[in-house]
Amino acid sequence: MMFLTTKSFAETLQAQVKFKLHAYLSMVVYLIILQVAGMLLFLLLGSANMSSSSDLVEMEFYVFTPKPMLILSSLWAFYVGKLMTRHDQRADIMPFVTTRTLSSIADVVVLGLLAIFTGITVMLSIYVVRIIVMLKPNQNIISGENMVNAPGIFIENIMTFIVFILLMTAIGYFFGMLTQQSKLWIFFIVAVSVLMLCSAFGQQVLLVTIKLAKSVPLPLLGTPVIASSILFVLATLLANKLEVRG
Amino acid sequence: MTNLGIVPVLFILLIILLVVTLLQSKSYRTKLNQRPLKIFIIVYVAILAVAPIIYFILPKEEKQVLTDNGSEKLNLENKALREALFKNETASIDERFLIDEWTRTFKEKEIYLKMENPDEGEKVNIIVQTSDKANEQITGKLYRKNFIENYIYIPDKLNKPTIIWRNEKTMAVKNPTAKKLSYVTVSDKLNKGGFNNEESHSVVVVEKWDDDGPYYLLLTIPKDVKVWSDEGLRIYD
Repeated sequence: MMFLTTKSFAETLQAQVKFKLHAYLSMVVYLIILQVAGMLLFLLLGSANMSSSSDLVEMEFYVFTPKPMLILSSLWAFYVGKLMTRHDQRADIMPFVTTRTLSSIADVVVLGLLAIFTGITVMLSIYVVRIIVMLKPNQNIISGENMVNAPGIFIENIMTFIVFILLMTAIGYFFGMLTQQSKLWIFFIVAVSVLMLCSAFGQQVLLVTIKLAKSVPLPLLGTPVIASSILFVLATLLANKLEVRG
Repeated sequence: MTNLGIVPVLFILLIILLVVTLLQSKSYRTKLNQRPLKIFIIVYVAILAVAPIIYFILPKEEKQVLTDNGSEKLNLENKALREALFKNETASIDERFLIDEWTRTFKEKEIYLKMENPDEGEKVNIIVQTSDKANEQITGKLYRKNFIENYIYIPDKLNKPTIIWRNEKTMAVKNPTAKKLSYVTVSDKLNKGGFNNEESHSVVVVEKWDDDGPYYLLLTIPKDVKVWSDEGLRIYD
């Protein structure tokens, strides 16, 4: 057993983050596989195609955007968030843990770092797609928004992706913590979501929630950031109630 | 997307599943040795970091979607081309509009002009001029105006109409067939649903002169030759 009590809070946190990042390295590899698969899928199908024809030309359009990579990456983010709370994972990390709260904070920091990594890689992966599209013969390329002619969109998208991925990890983390409490939560959450989506009342509630979230006078990314923080705090509170403590 | 389009998706998902399960089983065995994982991640990040640089360095031919000003300029050029043709001022026409030119000896006293496939619309407008010289020659000049479709200027990729001489007196013009063109656009934008940003374009008003097909065939015939034509063929003189 390591004794970390003599070290300061920041030092302990740093050591934990380093350790956890190391432990989740294989997760990053999965992310990369998913992103590469996203790019391949993308090149096969195109994220949007349409055709139009007149007397003289039959035109086919293929539009590629970072959307598929973002969707696949967010699924991964949910999975990683949930994985962090898994019992065997926690047990592996246990010898290095001082307190449950500290461990949770380290979890959040790690998830944040992973979200930043994911957001940037998703945005950059579109440039790999661009190069592959350019190398294909017999194609007319129409210039789209890129980091040179539309730097605003590029930066805005990276920020949005990071926050979105963070929110997905937060949802996964919270969901994972709930299911650690009792597996019945899985059943409960699935049942509630299905009911919400199927019943008129549930849909109404969802719409009102979305409207409320939109009407909050916050900058564009404020709502997901606050939602993620609330989920992380709730998950940490739940973690403190878990039977196995550090 | 057709129903068959789902097959590659399922195929790739299957591959992902296989690779992930394989990696998972492997990573449990080699949990302590993370060096290959690190190298893999570093290589991927390096590729991603270099990709934009390569993209901007590579020579590329990218077309632009026309702005309102751009399409207006091209339309004005079209208008000028039409006026020049009707006023017989061919010398003032830009060379890029002229795509074909031929001469043919013609000894008959009358000429029949026909459309080979008239039901396919008026793509070729025939303009007949009489020449002052009685030199027993017909000259044909094929012009094409700036062709814009879906806010894209398509300069030199269209099929040309063909001219068939059925006999010494009858000239038939065959409308060109439609050309298949595929366009690709890659955008950083997340919700680029459509190809054009429709908001940036105002509604284009089609003027009467714009109704003409994209091709003009200017025929110069000896002055004593009579011109006959089927219904529906527009003859200007």
